[in-house]
Amino acid sequence: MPFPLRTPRVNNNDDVVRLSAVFAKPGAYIKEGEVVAEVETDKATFGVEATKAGYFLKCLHDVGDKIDVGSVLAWMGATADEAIPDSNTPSATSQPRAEPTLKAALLLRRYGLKADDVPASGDRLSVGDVESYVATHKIKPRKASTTTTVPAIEAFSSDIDAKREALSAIERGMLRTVSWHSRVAVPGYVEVAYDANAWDSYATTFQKEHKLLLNPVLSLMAYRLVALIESNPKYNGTVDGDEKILYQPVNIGFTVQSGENLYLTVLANAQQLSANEFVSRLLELQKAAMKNKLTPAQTSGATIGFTSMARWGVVRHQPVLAPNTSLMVAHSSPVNGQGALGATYDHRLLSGADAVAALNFLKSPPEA
Amino acid sequence: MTDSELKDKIRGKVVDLARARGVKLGNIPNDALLIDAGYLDSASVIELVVWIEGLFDTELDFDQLTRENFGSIDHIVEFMKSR
Repeated sequence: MPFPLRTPRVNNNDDVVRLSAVFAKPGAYIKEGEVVAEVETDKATFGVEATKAGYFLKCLHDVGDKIDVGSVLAWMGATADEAIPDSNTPSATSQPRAEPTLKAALLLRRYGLKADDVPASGDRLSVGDVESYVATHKIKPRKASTTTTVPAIEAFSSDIDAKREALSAIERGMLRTVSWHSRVAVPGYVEVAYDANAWDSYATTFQKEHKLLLNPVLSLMAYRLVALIESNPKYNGTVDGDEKILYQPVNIGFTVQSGENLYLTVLANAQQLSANEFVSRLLELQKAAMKNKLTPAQTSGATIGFTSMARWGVVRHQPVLAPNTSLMVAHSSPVNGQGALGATYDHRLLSGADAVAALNFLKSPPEA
Repeated sequence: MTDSELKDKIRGKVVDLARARGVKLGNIPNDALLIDAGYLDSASVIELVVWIEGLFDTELDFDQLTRENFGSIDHIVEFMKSR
């Protein structure tokens, strides 16, 4: 069934916006959140995102057209060849979306619906409208979930003159990550001191043995983290509702800074790799990140994480959890051979004692 | 590009990467070990490798990233010219 993308409001005072660009091509598959078009006023531009994944069917306007806020801008569908509704049907195209009341918005969220999905009986979408819709369509409330979707928050409102811009894809990714961390997980933080010289000695020996250009100390610490999963599978899991999810593969997330971009690169099935294979694969990921050529598979699906800010001389930092993970280990810059290993953990699944046990495991290299 | 021009070009990149790390620079000799002398750390070496791959329009294998091939500006030029 086709669904509309409606023209967003860019400024509080502008009821009409101008279509400045259409990025999506008819028939193209569009991911949820992908920017398909751009609208503007004299004060700001705004990217129009797909409200859910599907095929882009048709934009109803040409670039340069002035369009009423709330009217249908374009149609998308579950298949590329769906017929779009008759453009002369007032209810399909020209009626601005009825804004839900606060209670209706909460009810929509409970059922996983969007305001566009439910017809309104009046100027505002009411609780009665939603209740009637879910009863007719026999829709059940969705289960509590660890979804990474950003929960609805109060709309931004300010009198301060400002320019509005769409977040970049990387910025949206970071927003999802920090939003999951703050709104879904229950983060705690612990830290232990460790002897950095022991790790350096171990890594230097490994480097010479394998004739490596780079000291692999961070890669080897991350590899040690992978080995940790054998002692406690909970480290490699998360919580969904009242169930715990224990991932089978160890997909380790490893942060890489590339210019202004911070990536969480993901090395999947790391438990299957030897130490040298792990170091090699991680280097390839770092190179791909620095070329900004990571594939989606290389930046998604982390089950546990490792990060370091030692490069910048940072001696302590509390990392953010990657979505749907329970442990992110933070390496910092040692001072006089003494370092600090920190860990942010999801208290829904791991205790502080669990996190400390993980750090105590990590603070010594395997053979020390 | 002559060897001398190539070395100057690589030296310029090394200087950029070292300065980005806040390293105070004098002259960087062609035979200076870039990591051991403190000009570059692991991350900036990877940036250098990626830059060299772009310069030569090639991809380097993990096994080729050794101290013998990338330890100094001399090593880099000698290795890349030999490929």
